[in-house]
Amino acid sequence: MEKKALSSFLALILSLPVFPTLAQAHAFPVRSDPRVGWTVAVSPPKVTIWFDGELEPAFSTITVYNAAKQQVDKNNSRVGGSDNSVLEVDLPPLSAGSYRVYWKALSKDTHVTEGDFMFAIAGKAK
Amino acid sequence: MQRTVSVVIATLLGVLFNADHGHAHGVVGKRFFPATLVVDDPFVSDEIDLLKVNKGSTNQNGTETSVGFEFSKRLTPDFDLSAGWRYLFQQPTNGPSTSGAGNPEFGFKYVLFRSPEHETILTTGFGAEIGGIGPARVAEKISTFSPGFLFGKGLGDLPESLKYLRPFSINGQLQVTIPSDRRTVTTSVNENGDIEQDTEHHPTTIPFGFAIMYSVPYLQSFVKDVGLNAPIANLFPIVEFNWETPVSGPGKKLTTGFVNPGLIWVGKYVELGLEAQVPKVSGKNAGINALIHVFIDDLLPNIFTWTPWGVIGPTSAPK
Repeated sequence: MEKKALSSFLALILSLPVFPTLAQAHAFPVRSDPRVGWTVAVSPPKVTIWFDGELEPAFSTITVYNAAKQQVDKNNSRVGGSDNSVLEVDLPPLSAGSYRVYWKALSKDTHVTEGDFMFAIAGKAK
Repeated sequence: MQRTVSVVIATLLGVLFNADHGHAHGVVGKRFFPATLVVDDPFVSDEIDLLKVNKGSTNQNGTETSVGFEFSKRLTPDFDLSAGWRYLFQQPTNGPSTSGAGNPEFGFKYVLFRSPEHETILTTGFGAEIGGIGPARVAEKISTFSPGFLFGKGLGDLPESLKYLRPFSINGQLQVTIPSDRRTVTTSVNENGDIEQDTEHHPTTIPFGFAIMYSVPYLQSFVKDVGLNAPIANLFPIVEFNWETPVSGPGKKLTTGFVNPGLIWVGKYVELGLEAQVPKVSGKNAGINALIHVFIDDLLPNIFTWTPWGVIGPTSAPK
């Protein structure tokens, strides 16, 4: 009886995480375009980050800075249209060089995550 | 029994395939530290070590295996309380095997310092094992009290030329374990009718250790996307080192030490860990450490981030 109760308890607890609708957790990045740490051939029109959970649009931001620490994005950071797990910002045509993306994500249950990464545009920096 | 095993396996697989990235439980800056299996981590949290298993290596006293759990609950963003309990299976070198519930363990942690930009945290903690509650055949009659310090440091502030080392982190602990009594004397009558006294000494000890791990999620998200997908992208290869040195009593020079290499995998609501326990100072045969750790504040945030003083929010570094 004791063994049965213990195994039922374990099964119950272990099965809780398989129901994602029970809760919204922290939002962490899954992938991005441009990819983290990569060099692209031409200036990308925007930076997009896909997260593993839905974001709160009002408090999730993304900005892009050049090597001189000047903000270069179009300052129109947004959570993408029909998919609330996508964060993106438009870019003007950028010259060759390295750029750093800073993001802050507020998940639906108010957990905050943040981070940054670099990408580069091939060619000689001006 | 077969049905039970298949239910457990099915649910474990369900957890695995529901996986995504790690979560902000041990977060400082952009660094996530998973709970470590041997060395206590420096974070306060609303979490459960649902199942913590240690099949110890064999030493001069024999072999001990423990199965237990620990629950921790924050009362403020920097302070938590914890309670744990273990069931012990002992195989003495001389004598029959025995088993039973160990003594309960209680503790608290308080975060003294955080540096998000340097991915650094320093915490003080206190633990107590309340003696005499578990049966004498497996549990100590005396209590022990363990004040100490815990730290965590991510290497995210290394220069660009060393960027592939940035996913490394180290966390560790240094404690003093003080017994409530220096010795216990057991009196018995032998088969000849003579009275015998057996004295057991309980030294003050210094347990210390550290864990070094490489965060694949950190590599993917902050250094370079090398194209790894789940479940590999959720892994933390880890080696933990731990020692315990008696500093009083007859066993003063008997330091025990272990190297514990293994893997930690972190999903959306659960963390799984498995390590070998290799004795380095005394003992023989490798043991095993295993952990199922649940992020209950993510699973049921409205319940587990509640305190008598209001909901204190997620387990993340204050901004």
